[in-house]
Amino acid sequence: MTDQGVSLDVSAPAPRPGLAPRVRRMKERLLTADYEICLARARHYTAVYRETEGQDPALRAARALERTLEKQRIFIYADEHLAGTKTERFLSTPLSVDRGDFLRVLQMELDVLEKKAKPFKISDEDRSCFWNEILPYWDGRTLHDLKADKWRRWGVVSTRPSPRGWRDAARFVRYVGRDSLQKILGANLHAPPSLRRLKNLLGLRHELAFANPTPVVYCHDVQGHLCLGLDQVVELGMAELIRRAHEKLTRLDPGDSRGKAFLQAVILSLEAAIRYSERFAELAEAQAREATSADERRRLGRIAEHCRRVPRLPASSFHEALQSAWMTQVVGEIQFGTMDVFGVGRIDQYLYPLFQKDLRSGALERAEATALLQEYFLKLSSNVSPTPEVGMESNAVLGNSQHCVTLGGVTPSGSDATNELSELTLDAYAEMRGAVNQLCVRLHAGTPAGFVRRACEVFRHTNGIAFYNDEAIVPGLRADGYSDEDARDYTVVGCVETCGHGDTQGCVAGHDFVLPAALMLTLTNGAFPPAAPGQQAGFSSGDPSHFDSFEGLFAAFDRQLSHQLDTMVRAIAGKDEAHAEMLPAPYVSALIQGCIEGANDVTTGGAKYDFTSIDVRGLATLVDSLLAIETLVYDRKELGLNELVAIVLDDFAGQEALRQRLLRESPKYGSGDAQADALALRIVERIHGHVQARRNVRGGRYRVAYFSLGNHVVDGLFLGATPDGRRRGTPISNGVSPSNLVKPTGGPHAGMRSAAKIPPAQASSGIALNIRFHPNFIKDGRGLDTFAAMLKTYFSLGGMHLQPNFVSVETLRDAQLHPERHRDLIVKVSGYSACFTDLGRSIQDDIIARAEFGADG
Amino acid sequence: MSPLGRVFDVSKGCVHDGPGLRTVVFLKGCALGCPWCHNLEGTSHRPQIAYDAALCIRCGRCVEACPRNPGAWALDGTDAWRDGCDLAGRCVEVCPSGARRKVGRELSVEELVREVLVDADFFRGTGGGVTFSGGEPLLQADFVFACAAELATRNVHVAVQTAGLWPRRHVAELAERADLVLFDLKHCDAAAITRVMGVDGRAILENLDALLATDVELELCVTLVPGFNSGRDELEAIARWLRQRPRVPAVKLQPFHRLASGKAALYGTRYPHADTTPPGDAELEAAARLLREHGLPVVAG
Ligand code: SF4
Ligand code: SF4
Repeated sequence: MTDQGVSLDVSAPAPRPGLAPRVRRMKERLLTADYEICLARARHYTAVYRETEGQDPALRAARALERTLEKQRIFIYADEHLAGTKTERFLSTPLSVDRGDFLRVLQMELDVLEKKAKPFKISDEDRSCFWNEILPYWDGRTLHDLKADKWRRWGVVSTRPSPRGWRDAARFVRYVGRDSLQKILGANLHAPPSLRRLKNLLGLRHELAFANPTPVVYCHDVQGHLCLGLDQVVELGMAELIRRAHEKLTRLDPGDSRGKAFLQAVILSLEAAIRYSERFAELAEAQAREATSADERRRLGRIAEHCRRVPRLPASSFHEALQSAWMTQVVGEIQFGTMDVFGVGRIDQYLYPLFQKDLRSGALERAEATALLQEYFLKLSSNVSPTPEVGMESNAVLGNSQHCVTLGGVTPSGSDATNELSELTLDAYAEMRGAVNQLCVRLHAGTPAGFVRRACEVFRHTNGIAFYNDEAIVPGLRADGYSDEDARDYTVVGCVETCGHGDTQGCVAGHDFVLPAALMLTLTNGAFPPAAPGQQAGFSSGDPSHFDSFEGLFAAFDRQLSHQLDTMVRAIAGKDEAHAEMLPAPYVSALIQGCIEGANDVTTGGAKYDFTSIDVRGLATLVDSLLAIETLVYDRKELGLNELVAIVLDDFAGQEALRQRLLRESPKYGSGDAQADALALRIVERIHGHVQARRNVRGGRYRVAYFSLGNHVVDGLFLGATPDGRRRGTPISNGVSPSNLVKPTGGPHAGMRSAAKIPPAQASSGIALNIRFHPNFIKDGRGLDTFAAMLKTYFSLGGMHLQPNFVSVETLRDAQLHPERHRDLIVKVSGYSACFTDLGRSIQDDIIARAEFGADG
Repeated sequence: MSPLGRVFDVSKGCVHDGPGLRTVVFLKGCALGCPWCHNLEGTSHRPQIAYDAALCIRCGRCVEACPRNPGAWALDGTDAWRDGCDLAGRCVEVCPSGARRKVGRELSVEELVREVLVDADFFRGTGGGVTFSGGEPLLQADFVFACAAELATRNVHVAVQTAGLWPRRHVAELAERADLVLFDLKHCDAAAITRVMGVDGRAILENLDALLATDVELELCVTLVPGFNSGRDELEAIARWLRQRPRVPAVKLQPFHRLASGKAALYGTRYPHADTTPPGDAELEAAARLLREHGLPVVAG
């Protein structure tokens, strides 16, 4: 990393020449392309795994990657200056059938792909290949199956005999209700009936439980969600990493067969990546020979030249560095499969030396650098996952596997890291308007005021950026065990997760904890939400008739919390063991510090830093519910707890007046109420307390995060009413934001003040604070200055993160009515950024329902 | 004893009423009768009962609780209940949904200061503070000045937004207590003011002159109302008049807006300008250009 002193000329407004025509064309193509399924990776992986039964899992993983990189058809599309494709389709994603999560999704929804809310295309060839080759081989052999097997044996899930099972199913359906059920099933309701479908449905009847073993606990199959050491590849080249692996091999204890297989797998994978890049060089050369214009020949010639050298060798120019980083990332995504969510790290740091060199020598013009960065943004955004229908209510499809770019902050030695490239990247992003992937802007006390202001100004063009506070985050990372330098060099991965740069297996995603469901289980002694087929029977945390004080209730809630977190930890252990046994990630490991050095894969603890995060959702809904109970039941004694719970379970039927009072008469989180904030802190402290001493199977610590993607909407679909006055089926609160049900009388900064109180060490994996402003708020320079000052004030109070949306209700409504006019309207969901029109209806409505500030004037 | 203030709203997190992040304190009562006024709560000195049919869940509790002989009114969508209403607000106390609200409460200086100081951190961080608005805050000048004096001891920036009609003797204290005066100027023709608003237009302009003679920071807010002051002649007259003053303050243009037409229903009144189209961005821009051409410093609003 560079450690450069920079002076910023902030007085001159950045020139905005408008998008280069080629970038405009590429953007248009991305935003209008069909979503497609490509099974090339799946086919090659299936073939290799079939051929290599019984061999070392790391070598199998490497061979499968190698085969895919050798055989998969490749493309160089029009206007591209950076080459590298992930699949054989323009807009698709490498599907990880070996992991199993997407195998199950396709098994369930292959017949309704075209009917999905966001339809996917698939070729007939791929369709029949799936039923005839892929599913038959992998069914029972995936990581998902291995995990499920462990869960069954450990009692994480319960697969009860059918009569109970059917009763559970009926109870679950009644509880969730018709409207929610329709949203959960989506296009599946319209699937043509067939014998195959019936068979699949029977096979999949416990599927929910294998990701969601209790109503509180989600544990999906992914790991990923980390930052590859792209900086290492740019600076050193893969040949150097291969050399290091060879060297380690020669020094390895001869008895260490696993270490040997791992290093061989690393070498195979890196060599395959180099060869993959060379294929693009060959293709470019071939196309250049056919090209009719000199411009085309130059464009293709450069691609060929770059792809011959990188990622094998250190990059020698800015353009080549981007090519190297992109190709490295592409191969990572192919190895891991969709939902890899690899952040690309601090590009303004590791690309800076070459940027500066090229700029000085005249080899690079700013406009060209801008266009290259914009192309890179588009490429990072060009992925689509065929999320199951229930996820469609809450997720976007385009750019769903979010690849964050991090800018600014401090250098490893602690000085200001903001430089000319940070600024140029900001400007390039603002000009793009519609790149989905998120820009994460790190700020610290010494960030130049001009840079802060310019970053705020980007909101006049797009909402795809979020702010991070080094002053709060770095100490939190130190508490997790990072060295000072590595903590300062953090980057953002996924939505808001703070992660080491190329040195961390953070496992930050896929483990979600739904607080309001834990509360309802406490209030019903484990009866509600009822267990879905395959889920654990609800845990009895005590008979609510005996909770004669708020403290009595809280103690039971704490027992429930402890039980659910225990289940979570066991569920994660099953998933992690399965990864270690079956799906090591040699290519990813090669790019993470510590793995080659220790001859150990990331899945078995090879990374320099290793963690698991638990993502907690619905904090405000929980706090507001508890305080509503405290006020009406314990303070005013207006009704008994069981009486209130019965009304809540009945979704307030005939009790609208009481519901209104629950909504209005007790303290609310995020509205400037000290009691509510204190309760939130008490809960955060308890959760941290429960996981603090635990270790994952690799020996890493647990960390806690508070964000929800769009899944607080899905949680709502599965959850009946709650005592805060929330109706059945409606979203719970997102991240650490106040509930949408609460009138925001304290102003936007009241929510900031509440969030700022959360100790970073107890939420070191990240928080998401989402606040929506009317664009009027920043329409003039004064508003912009005020917003920048608010941000700094929030950070000086200890806030970790803020993602504002500057978009009005009118615009959002218009975008619902006329999606075609707002194709590049970007919003922040809770964590990630997405095209608003690409989002499911429920999450769109949730964003509209958020309080809006600053409309007047 | 410290004076009490009649307040109808304390609005936090505002950005368009002075520098930084602000809390705007809306005081009840105004002597002007601007037909386009959007703070209908501000015009009357007395508390009012607002009823918002959109929030109402038709539970009937308000009717039941009303001390007037039972059955005197019903939830029939009319404003019949306002006749003979004692404004004591029994209905408000029992209303679960917030559809019925009592607008206007009495606050002591200490209470108000305590309430706004919650945001001291963000005032400091953003260079913001408190803006007294209304209604006409200076009809409760004792209260406003006492609050401002108290806030000054905590280094909180104080702005006062006024329509300008109050006794001349307030000028010196206003200049001393306020860090910024936001003066709503509707017109520079006293007769036109008198004609439309039914008040002494000359007194307003004289108060402005007196303020301009002090060194208090002053910003003029001109609300553009089609048919009253947005024509070229009127704007030019305003510009000429201002150019003749001893100092020329910054001018902020804002469009009148029809927010009030929705609000009027809450108070059982009708908003006379419901059909007037507010000036658009282009008109605002043209007006700003014109004033600039006449050498006025126009700030974005
Ligand atoms: S305020 Fe008026 S309407 Fe309400 S209870 Fe009293 S008299 Fe009845
Ligand atoms: S008490 Fe409130 S909610 Fe009930 S009918 Fe009256 S105004 Fe409506």
